[in-house]
Amino acid sequence: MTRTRNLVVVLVVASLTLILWDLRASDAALRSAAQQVVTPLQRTATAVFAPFGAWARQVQSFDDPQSRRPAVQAIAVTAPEGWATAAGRVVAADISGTRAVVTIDAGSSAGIRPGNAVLAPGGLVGRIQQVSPGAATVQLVTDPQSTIGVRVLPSREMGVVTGRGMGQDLRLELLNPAARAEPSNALITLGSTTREGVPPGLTVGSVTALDTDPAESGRSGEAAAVTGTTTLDMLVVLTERR
Amino acid sequence: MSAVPGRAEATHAPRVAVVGTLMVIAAFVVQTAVLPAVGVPVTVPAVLATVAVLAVAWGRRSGALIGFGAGLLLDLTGTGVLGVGALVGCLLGAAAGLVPVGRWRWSGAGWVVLLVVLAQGADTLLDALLLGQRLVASPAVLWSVTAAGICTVVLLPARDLLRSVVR
Repeated sequence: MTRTRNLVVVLVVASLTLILWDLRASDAALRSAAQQVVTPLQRTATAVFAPFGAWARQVQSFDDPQSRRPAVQAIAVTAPEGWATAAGRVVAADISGTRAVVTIDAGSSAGIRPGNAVLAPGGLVGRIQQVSPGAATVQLVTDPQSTIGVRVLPSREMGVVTGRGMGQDLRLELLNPAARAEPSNALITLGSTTREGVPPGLTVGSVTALDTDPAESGRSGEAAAVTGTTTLDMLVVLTERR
Repeated sequence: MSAVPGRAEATHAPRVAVVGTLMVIAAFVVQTAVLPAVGVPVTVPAVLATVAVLAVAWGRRSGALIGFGAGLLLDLTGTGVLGVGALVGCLLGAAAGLVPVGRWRWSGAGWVVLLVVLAQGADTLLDALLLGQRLVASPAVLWSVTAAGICTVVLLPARDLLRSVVR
């Protein structure tokens, strides 16, 4: 009994040491190595089980022509001109109330870097968070920690969308209290002009609701993302402006 | 805190290590790749449930060690703070090792489910606290609790089989 208790104490102390170490000096190499080991396993499992998921979706949404088009080509069409792209398949997902992160089987050896924009059919679905040589994690726009600058079309008013977790619409906040916007208006990225960041003009989603009583600090509402997080398959990453 | 009569406290260490490692890796692949691929919309805590069931079968010592390793695996491949999963995993293993095992197959099931749900909640809360993340009220919480329950109950019958491994 004492030996067991000592063991638990040692393990707890080891965990706390790891936590402190990671908070002070995070080591990307260790995570990268672990990702390298598990990605092939996840890729195989996904390849084996994805047909079952595709079958289940087909039963649900009978005869959806969009889902039959070759996925990467369909996404690449929506990618802005002048960008180098890399395609990756979703091989793992962590979707909960506090997280919406997926892993794709393409990484730094395909030119992917943290901050890159990630596209699915319809527009932007997230940004690259961590990379290893053969895999990358994507923080989806529905992740509660994700905040993206947007413009509402057609008024071009600026605002931000924040994720609210699984199964919830995005939160939209417009900076101008008198901003003109209506449900079904499209939202596009504000974007940056850096070589690797999110370019301006990508579709992020559409407005679904707006408060009727604008506050002094701005207008708030809700927005729908371009695609559901559970049906993601092939994704295209904008790696670098050429 | 007293030893539960009839429980083999990890008498066959190499076998426990091999079977434990394989089961944790299998649970990890199921949790991160298989279930999302077939369209399950929320992360099911299969790894934590496996740790709890192994701990119930093999005792606190093995449970704590396997939980630590499994948590570390989740930490290294996830986006949270390194060490949080390891901490939660080893405490879950140590706690689940105390759940009394009776002759009835489902005895202790409620405790195991509760421990898995608590462990999952603790993991989320600790990460959010340490990283200063926003916690949002979401239907995903209910989903996760349900998923933890289903997952644990599905795994629990493996307990008898696992106990025969260490004899």
